[in-house]
Amino acid sequence: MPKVLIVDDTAFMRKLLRNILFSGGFDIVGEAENGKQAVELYKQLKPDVVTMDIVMPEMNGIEALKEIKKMDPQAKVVMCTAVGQEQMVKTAIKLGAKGYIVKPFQAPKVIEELKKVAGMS
Amino acid sequence: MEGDMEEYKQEFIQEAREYLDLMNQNFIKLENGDLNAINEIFRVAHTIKGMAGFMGYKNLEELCHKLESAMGKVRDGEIEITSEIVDVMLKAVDAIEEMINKIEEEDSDDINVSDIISDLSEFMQEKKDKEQVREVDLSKESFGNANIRVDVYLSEDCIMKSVRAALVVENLSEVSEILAVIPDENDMEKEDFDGHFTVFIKAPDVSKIEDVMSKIAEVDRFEVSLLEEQKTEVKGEIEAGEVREGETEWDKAKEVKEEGRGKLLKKKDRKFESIRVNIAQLDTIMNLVGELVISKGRLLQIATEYDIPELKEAVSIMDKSITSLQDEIMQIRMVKVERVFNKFPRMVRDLARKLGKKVEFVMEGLDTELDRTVLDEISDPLIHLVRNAVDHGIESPEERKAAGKSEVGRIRLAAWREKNNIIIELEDDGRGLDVEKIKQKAVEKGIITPAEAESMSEDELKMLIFAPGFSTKDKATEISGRGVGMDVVKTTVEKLGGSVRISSKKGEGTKIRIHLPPTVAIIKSLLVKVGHETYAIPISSVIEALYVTEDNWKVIHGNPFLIVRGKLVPAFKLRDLFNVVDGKPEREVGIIVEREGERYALIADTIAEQQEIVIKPLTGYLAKIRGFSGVTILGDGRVVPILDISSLLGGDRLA
Repeated sequence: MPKVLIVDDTAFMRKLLRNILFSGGFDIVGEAENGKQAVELYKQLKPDVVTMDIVMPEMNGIEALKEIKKMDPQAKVVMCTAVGQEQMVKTAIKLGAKGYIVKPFQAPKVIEELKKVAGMS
Repeated sequence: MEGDMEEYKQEFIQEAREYLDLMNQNFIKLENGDLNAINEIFRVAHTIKGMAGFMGYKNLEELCHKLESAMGKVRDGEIEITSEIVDVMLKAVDAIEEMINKIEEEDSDDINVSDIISDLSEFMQEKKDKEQVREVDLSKESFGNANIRVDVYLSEDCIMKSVRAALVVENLSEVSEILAVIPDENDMEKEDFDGHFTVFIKAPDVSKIEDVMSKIAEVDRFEVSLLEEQKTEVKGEIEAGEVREGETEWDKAKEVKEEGRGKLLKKKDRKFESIRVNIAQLDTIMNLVGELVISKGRLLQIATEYDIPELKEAVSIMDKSITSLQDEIMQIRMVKVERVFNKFPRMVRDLARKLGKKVEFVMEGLDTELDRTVLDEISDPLIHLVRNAVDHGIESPEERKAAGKSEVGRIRLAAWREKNNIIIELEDDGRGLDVEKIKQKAVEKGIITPAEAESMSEDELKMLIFAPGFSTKDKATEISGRGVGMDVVKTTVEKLGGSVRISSKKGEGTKIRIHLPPTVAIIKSLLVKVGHETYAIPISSVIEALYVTEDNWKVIHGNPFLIVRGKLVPAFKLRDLFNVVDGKPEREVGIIVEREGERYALIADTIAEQQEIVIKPLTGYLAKIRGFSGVTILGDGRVVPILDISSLLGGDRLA
């Protein structure tokens, strides 16, 4: 089972993703509520995939993505985004994000995205 | 997933409310010139939008979206912060709150916000034209040496197709050299982009391309074809676009954020730290502890009866654990006063603006903890007091100036712990209480007689503002007259076992100090006996106790009175109220209690003892019985009703 690290500043979204990913056969190894924590946890947990919210306190998702990529150029980070944030996601993609999921999340899409990125299918 | 919507809803509501609080606080910060608040509000609006979107509350989503975009403009320096804009935005925040309330109650966010949305749009309008003019710089580049053409068809339901395309291009660029993408990025962002695009690349190997493509979701199908002669032909047909474009806006935003971060880190903005426990569960646990206390009492009795020292020792150890357990649960029930206090800065701001007053509002001791129930109860009275301070306490800037004061009035709300009490103090430097005016009003309204007025001390006179039916302003203003009066403030505090004191100097200001017990689940009470029954009276409502003698017992027009230091106090015989006939003692006791400022005497047989008791609320049909606030269970297992003075004496007997 691919290991996933969920990064989102709201408990609500984390719970939602946790449930979706769990049902998709992922192993949720950790959850972070801001970019800083995400970078720390990435170091410790070495997850196969990270779901990364963009707008967060302390350190936003873009910065966190940069940091993670610096540590591990092979890191697979999937950005969590919303309609209207296209430019940000594009920036993230240029920085090495491997995919994106759009809020409101649709479970099958989220699972498909993560599976593709993790190389599961 | 549909089925667990309810589960998410609770969480959504709770979290949304916390975010609303944050939003309100940050708006005040923003108005005071703290630009970091912009990012915070932007983030919060964005977050609520995301949650609302998932829950399917379209209206809420849209409003948050508008607020978010407006904040985005503010952040980018396109809109200047003025009080007017903050007003409109705060209206939006209020509407969000309204929606959340409605969602909680009716599961609908259907609130008319078209006005707010159009107001917000108006502010945003100004710079819109500029945005549209932003020129697209298309540099034409040859893709002459491309050897592979990849045709990508994104799936029908792909959201944000242009981003998906960018992802494809970016991933391809890792294994090949991108020479052209058609249509270009700008065209892909247009609504009619159908999800089909072509990438011309130079790569040594096709297999890697296929490998990359297989790892990208939402790609319906893709075709990889090798190019040979075709290139010139294609070149003639289509113009190539520059791939890297369109990151300006985000970069700008990023800069603003990074600039602000230095300060942000230093200030370490408060975040919500909480675990969510249902208060009812805590009550249940507390009740179970009560049961344990009773069981312990039983064991102790057995140990004493059969004289088993080992058992006695075991019970005393158990007793210690139970006491700690009780303390811990009490601790869990404690919440910080900031939960309630945080509403105030926004409220004071709005009010002061409405009344044309200038007010500096200071809060202290936000970390002070109070039992959740106490805090909930005290919330409305505090709102009333704070409103009063702004409305009646602080004078208009002109009046203050004329009195030689600073134009800006100051209100201070502080909380702290003193021994076993929590103290909340509200102080303003406004016009203060006018004792003469109070005296006059109180007499006019028949609250006191002129003779009483003369004999009363200044402090007693000041306390009259808490008397039912008293209000110094002839007409309650829209602001203060909200149904909760000063008398309610006092009754609420007293019901909780606390007290209110007021000190004020005319022209210098008013200070109201509220003493509260940190918790209400355990109260000190007086146990009294009537016949064979025992009753508990909360000690907070007891003033004094005295024996009933022939000299101080008087019946006037069939109504009994007890004479206490020359004053007639209406008396109520508990044995009559509860129909107790047996075992009347020779000498009864009168317990003087206070209810809404009036004194009454409750006549019981004897006072048994004074003890801390755990309140067990009456539930089901028992809850409707008047006169009792609950029951408690004593160590020996006896169930004792707790008298509720208010409702006990509130019946027709008093009419």
